[in-house]
Amino acid sequence: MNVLAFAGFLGSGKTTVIKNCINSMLRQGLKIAIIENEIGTTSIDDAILNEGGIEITTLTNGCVCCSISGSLISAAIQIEREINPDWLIVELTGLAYMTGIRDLFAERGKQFKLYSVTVIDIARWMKLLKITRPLLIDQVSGANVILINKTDITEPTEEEIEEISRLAGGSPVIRASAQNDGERLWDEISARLKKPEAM
Amino acid sequence: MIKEENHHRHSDHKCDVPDCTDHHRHHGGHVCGDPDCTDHRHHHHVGQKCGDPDCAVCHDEHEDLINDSLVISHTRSFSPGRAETTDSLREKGIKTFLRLGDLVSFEGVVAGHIKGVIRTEGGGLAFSLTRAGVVDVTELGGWKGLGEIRAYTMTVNVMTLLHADITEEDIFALMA
Repeated sequence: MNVLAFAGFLGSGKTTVIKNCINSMLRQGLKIAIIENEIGTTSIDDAILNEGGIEITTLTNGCVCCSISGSLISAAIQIEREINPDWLIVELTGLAYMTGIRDLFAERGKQFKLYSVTVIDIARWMKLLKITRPLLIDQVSGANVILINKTDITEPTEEEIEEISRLAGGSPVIRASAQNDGERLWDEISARLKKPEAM
Repeated sequence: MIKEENHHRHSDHKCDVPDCTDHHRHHGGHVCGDPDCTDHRHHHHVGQKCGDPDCAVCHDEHEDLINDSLVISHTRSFSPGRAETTDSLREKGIKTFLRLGDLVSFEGVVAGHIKGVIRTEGGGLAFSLTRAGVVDVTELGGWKGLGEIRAYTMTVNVMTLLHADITEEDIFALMA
């Protein structure tokens, strides 16, 4: 089973990107399941994604890259057994470290092919770097695809693109507006998902 | 598979994972500076801690990040004395989120995310705020076709890395 993990800081637009991707994937006849992870006790995003009528598993009250990592692997195993989707989409919390997810799958989820997309809110990027630089760098480093989002609000500067590309370490960097680019997003992302995360 | 850290310590530490074959293997190419050291490698399995309170590998910055954050996640039911319309409820929701944004924003942005959803029997409204003064609103289900709204629930999740002096009561008082 292919697992597509969406990382990115709180409010970066992961849910909107995922919703657009799902619409395209369903149109292509792909079978999809979703895991939603929230640090809080109540999920909001499942109400938005539920519009697509897809089975959503919510993992709340913790982060799957650390405190409830076992729940993620257990849920993935169960989804593979019961639904066997073409893609299991995992929306990580905005505080999830991608290295934690990679380590988790490398150690306990070797049977899955893990791909990752990191969504960046370019409108807040520079200010957020001042507050939580290590987290943002971790989320960008090593993801299969980096999506610079909210370009409808702020166009990234050349310096920002350079820095993000450097942090991405050779992974493709896409500029987009999840609000406006709609179903084009999945075409852009899937064309660049060439190989799963190194295990 | 062993989680390899770039960081290492000179240590006699052995992990307690029974099938681990990675104890005391030299970390290739890396020198810790101790001429007598024969084991430059300090490793951890996912989620494992070595027990050394000073170990920088075990020091969980992520846990600190979450523990130091403001997390409010709460749902409340409303049955207003006077029925709401879709427009009046939308306005109340927007005002609530704008106020919350003012309370938790830093240099015009939220160091996190404020999101919420109003649910009624026939549809709902989702709210999202990451910058002070700007609320994104998404209609869910059959929101447009709703008439008078006599009962609804509201869920609000506030998550920010910077401290803000707000409580659940403050949030929902704004909806009253």
